[in-house]
Amino acid sequence: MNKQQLLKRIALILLALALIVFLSPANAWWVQWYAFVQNQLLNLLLDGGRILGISFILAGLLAPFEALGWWAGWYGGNRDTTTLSFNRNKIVPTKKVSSTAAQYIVYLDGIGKSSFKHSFRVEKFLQRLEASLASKNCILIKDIVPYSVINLPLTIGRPLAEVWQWIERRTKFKVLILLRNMFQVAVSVDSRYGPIYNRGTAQIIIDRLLSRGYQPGSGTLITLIGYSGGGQISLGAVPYLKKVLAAPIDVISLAGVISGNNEVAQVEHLYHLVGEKDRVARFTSFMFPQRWPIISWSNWNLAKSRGEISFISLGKVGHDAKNGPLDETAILADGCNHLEQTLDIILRILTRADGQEPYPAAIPDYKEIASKIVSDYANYVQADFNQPDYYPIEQSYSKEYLPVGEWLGRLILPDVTERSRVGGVYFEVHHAPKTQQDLIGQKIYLRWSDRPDIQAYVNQVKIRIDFSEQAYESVANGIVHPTRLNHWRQVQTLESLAGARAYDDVIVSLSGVEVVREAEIALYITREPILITGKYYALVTVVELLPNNRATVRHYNSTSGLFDGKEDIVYFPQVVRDRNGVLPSTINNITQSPLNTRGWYIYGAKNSEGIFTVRAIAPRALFQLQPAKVISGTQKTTDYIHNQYWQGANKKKGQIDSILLNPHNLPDTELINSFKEGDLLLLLHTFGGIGGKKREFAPLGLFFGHFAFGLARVIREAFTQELCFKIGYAQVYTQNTTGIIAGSLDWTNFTGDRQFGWLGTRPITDIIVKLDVLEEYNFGSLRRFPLNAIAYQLDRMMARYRTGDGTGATFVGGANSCVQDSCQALYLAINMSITEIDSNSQIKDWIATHPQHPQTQRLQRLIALNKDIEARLIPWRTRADWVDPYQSLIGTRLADRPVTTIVNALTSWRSLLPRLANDILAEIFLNHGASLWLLQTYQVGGWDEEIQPIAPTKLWI
Amino acid sequence: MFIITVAVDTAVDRFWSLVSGVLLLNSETFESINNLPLGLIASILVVLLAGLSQTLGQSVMLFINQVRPLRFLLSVAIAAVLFVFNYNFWVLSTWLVAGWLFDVSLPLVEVVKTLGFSYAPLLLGFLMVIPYFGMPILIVLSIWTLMAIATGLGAISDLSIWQAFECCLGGWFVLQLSQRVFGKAIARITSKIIDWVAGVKLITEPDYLEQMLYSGLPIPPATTDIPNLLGESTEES
Repeated sequence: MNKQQLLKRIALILLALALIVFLSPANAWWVQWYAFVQNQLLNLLLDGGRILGISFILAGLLAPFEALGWWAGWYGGNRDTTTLSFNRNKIVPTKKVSSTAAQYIVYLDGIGKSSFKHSFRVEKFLQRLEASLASKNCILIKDIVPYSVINLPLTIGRPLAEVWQWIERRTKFKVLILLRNMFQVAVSVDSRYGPIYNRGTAQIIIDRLLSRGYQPGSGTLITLIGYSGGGQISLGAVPYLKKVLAAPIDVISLAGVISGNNEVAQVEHLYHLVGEKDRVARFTSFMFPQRWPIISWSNWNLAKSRGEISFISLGKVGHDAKNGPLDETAILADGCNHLEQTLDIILRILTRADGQEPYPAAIPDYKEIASKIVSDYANYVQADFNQPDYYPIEQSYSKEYLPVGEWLGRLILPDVTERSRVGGVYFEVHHAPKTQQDLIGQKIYLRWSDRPDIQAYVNQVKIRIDFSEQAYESVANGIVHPTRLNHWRQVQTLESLAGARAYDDVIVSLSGVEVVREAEIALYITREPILITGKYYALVTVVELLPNNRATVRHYNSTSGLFDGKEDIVYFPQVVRDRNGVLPSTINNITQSPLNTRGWYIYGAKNSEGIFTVRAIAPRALFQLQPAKVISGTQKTTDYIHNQYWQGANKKKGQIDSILLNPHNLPDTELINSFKEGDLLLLLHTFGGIGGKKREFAPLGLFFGHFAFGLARVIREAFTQELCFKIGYAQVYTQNTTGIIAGSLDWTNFTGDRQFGWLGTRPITDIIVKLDVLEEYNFGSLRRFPLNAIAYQLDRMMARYRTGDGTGATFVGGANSCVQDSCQALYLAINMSITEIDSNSQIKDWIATHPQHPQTQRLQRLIALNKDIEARLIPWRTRADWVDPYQSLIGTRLADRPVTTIVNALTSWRSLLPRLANDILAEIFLNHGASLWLLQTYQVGGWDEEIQPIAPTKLWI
Repeated sequence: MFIITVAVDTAVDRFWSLVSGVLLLNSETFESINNLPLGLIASILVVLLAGLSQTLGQSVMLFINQVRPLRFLLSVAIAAVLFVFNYNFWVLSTWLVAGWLFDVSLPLVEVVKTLGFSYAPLLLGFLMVIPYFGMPILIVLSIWTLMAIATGLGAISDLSIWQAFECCLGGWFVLQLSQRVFGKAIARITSKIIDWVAGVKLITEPDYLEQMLYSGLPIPPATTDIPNLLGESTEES
């Protein structure tokens, strides 16, 4: 009898039975039985559902308590910390293992995890990952159970450990582990428990990293690879890791479940690998509102728009197990299996070279690049006199020309492959002190000093740069961005300065230099380089304009004190017009300028023909300590700042003003003599607009202008031996078409430069603040200078502006702008000073022992000034982003965060408009006893018929 | 008379059926609450249990402050009792507002009983513990409670549902206002009681809570020294 026959027989028998059952009287009984069973079945199903629901709720109810109990210390004593870190409050100092690993990789497994053992697919993945990285000097950490704040597997040392062990052996019940761990992910996401839970897992990760020799603050890259729920867990830990290790952190989310309410914006970069068939990872983007595009202010969307998230598709890959990203048996269309593909992508990310990004978040839109607008900078550098090569380095100068500083030269950005060797940038020496003459013409290293405070500063502002979409757009719109630094990691301030523009044409003056002559020569500096224009200067009056932009000038004679010195022919090259057709400067009729009789400082260098080429001019009268007018009295000086100093700007074209405000009615000479040689004074800078025929765009006639802080030093000028001001700016300046760099810019560079400066086209007011409370303090051996704090904060802010906090671009907006962020730096500096006075025991002791000392009283007045500034700048409450460095993200546009931006802008409304902020600060300084010296220029130099000065709009009376 | 009362069920006996009636927003249940003996005790019991449940649901604060287990239980219990007091103040103000706004004269005891039972949805307050879903659950429970209150007030008076809402809202405002005016002392006393029971000074400001979570981590101390970037003037410091 074969199978078919058997089946036929069975079918026949069944049919017969069915006939009997349904047609016989037994049917009634059958129906009854059926109804009964159906009822039971339904109940059974209902009961089953109920049990399922209850266990679900129960699992949810119990989920937070491991983390909470751990934090509250309910589990008591210390366990062996090598595998189970139970200790809540102390990371046990493991043996100091020093390590030179270039990178640390931490793997956080998916929610299928119940013990230290990995599933066979994960095991395979990790093995192959480790093998591929063997030659790469990496450390891979994989013994972390991400779903327990105490790194305790389910299968060991728990009351239900045996149950979990039993479950682990049976694949059918694995779903229970998934359920349990899923709720742990929910705990990490929860705004109430998340901070505690994430603190726990972060501590475990930190523990592991330290025990494997991680050096906090070393800047060694940490890459967290989070699979599935591990993605959420790794992002949750990031804020803590950042705080403790001060490390750059990348996160690779492999089919990651990410809520988006973690500080995604804090990681250097997030790589999000998701397969098209991955329902879990796709579902999460619906589940968490923070990831909806409509919630535009969420951290997730902010990071996305800043170009910090790279979305990488894995193709037709599912979430886990079979057909998951680690499945070796599933083959993709290109013949590669899933595991291979995943490994390939992860390895490309982990081993990418500096300066290269295999998976950029934003890529330039080449259509837009095609219609690219050329920047003013690109046009300007077409002219030969704007190129460094135009001026041979080794030239001899007569005594009528002096160098503007001791160390002068050009910054050269190293190639990306040379970075680790250079440790800074190259410096082409153009001028050096007498003892170091042999270095002139050489290309040597320029590095930051090893001094701990300097290194702390340098490390704070290191950042990885990846251009955001907006940055690319802005490049196409003719704005100068640091394109050479795109995708560089750990970019430091010297690099962002040298690489701010497309060419190595940043000429600087260095101070605080130490020369180290070893195998290779390096300069170590303690101050940010100052950008200058013109390496040599002379004091002249223009006698006659000659053809070909030459001019006869007569030098100042220091013996007679008159312009009866040597005559010379210099070259005033014709500058390039800007996009609006405005000439940045002209020498037209310069001999008729009212300033010509008192002379000009001319800055430049000799060209290859040996003719001094003038790149910047400065009217001598502006810097002399000889005010044209002194205004005395508290009320009069306040009124002058309030509504008079910009009056009649349009009638003063070509002129300067030097006005001394004397609120305390001191005799004029006494006040002027109080400005002593060597004084370092705070400066407030504002500029106005360009009007006239070639007027610039100013809607409704409003021109807000620009604000910056600066420092003025009283120096004895070498030619005249008279005291004068030497001005430098701290320009917190967004990227622009002119190629002006945010940084310490000398007056000659920002203002006097005939091509790049504003002296010839914009009205400018520089207010120099003379206030005793800002002078140096001497607490026994400890000396403190209040302007140091503001200089430090401004240096930091300018470095951040150069990199756009890693996005490559900064934009002017309500919440972030020259004036808002200068004031933010001021606020931070004030806080810093107050904290230092409060916490430094040496200062406190000195005050306690010298309660009546004039310096103590001066210090109290400094504190009062600081508090006053704080109260005026922050009338309502402090902006969150001024307090939390991680919330302060410059380079974010209004459109990226509309609500936050508007709220922030309004919160600090007094520093919204340049002139308003300037006037408020000036008034505060006046009220605290300062005398102010106003230096004003109104389109100075030659006469340009096409333009008129416009005062910046105040809008607030 | 005595025999009759024994024959009738008390509100305590029918506690769970009354609670489920309230949960279903059944207005007849509210009427029967006021007719049953021991109604007042039963309603206070509801409020107490609701307070207990809700405090458990929000116990994360106690954990963050690292309260010990025994003190934790005590704190929850005390918080539940304080919850009852707070409830009574609110009832009082609602009653006053109802009388003043709508000229409704209801016996205060009746209002206490009704509103007490309206807190029944908050018995599920412990569900707030569930991670991530806790917040939506709280919102649902709050709306549910408000609806129960409105139904209850409607059942014992001639107020329409919107008028009942207005009463609740008015009562809440008066309570907030009086807390602002006289409440500082009361708030200080209650927080003192809770701190005393918990054994630690409970910190509830979010900023400080965050700071607490960073305690114990090997964070390199932030230097208060200002880097000297201006150079020569203070070189030797």
